[in-house]
Amino acid sequence: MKAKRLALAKNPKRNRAFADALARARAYAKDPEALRALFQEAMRKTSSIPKAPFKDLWGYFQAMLRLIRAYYRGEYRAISVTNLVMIIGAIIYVLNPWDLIPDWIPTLGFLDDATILAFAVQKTREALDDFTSWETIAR
Amino acid sequence: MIRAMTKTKTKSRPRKAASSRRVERLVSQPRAALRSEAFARALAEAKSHANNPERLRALFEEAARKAAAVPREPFEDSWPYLQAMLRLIRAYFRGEYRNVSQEGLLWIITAMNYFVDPFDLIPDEVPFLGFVDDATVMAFAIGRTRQALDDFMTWETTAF
Repeated sequence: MKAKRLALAKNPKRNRAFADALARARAYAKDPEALRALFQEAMRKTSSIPKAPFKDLWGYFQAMLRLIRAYYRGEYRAISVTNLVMIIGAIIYVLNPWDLIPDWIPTLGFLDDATILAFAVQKTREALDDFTSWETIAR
Repeated sequence: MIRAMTKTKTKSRPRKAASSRRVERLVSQPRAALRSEAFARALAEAKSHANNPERLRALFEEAARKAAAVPREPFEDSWPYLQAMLRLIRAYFRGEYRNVSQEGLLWIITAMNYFVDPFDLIPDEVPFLGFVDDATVMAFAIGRTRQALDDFMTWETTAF
């Protein structure tokens, strides 16, 4: 059972929990209030998520959070809906403790979250890099 | 070394070939960037920058302009940390954020000094390879300051 889940954790496209997160993300993308609530939930949880499993992707995860904040505040809108949904989906997944491998399982609990985050970063890297460049130029 | 140079001379190869061989050799030794004169210069300058908000502002503006123009590929996953360094320097000279150690700040400024220097170990104008040495220095500085940068990014999401 556990081995099967670990194998699934390596394949984002077959991860049912991520498909659910993406479905929810589509509704969030149109609703600034929902995005604000998601951001605030992330803010509360961000210190309790271990950084180690995410390695260098932690920087991208933080960029995703700042991006959705700038988005719901209307400061930054230069992003496609596809990329926005992927980013929101990844954040929902990382924050959800009851995903493929529940987050409270020691050492393995965030393995699936790291895989999903890596997948989302790979898909949206350019949009995230554009956003961080905007942050240093525009403010 | 001298033999290699005379060899080049007798065969009268164009200078460019010699310099591109030099670049190839440097790329195969990534740590060379940390032993370079340019790195020592960046570190020495950082010490005078750290307590001078005006110089930090100038450094930030130059580095931000450059970051918007350079290729991102050589930096790979370091890129968001490079941007975080820039934002940290800005928040620091603006007095918004001071919760970083002098040592951490020094490494960050050193990496930025090296980044803005066009005549570092592998000159930035060399196609494809010009930023490989910058990426090495960046990865080194990130390794030293990861905790400080993570703390800063956490502050960014919670404070504003």
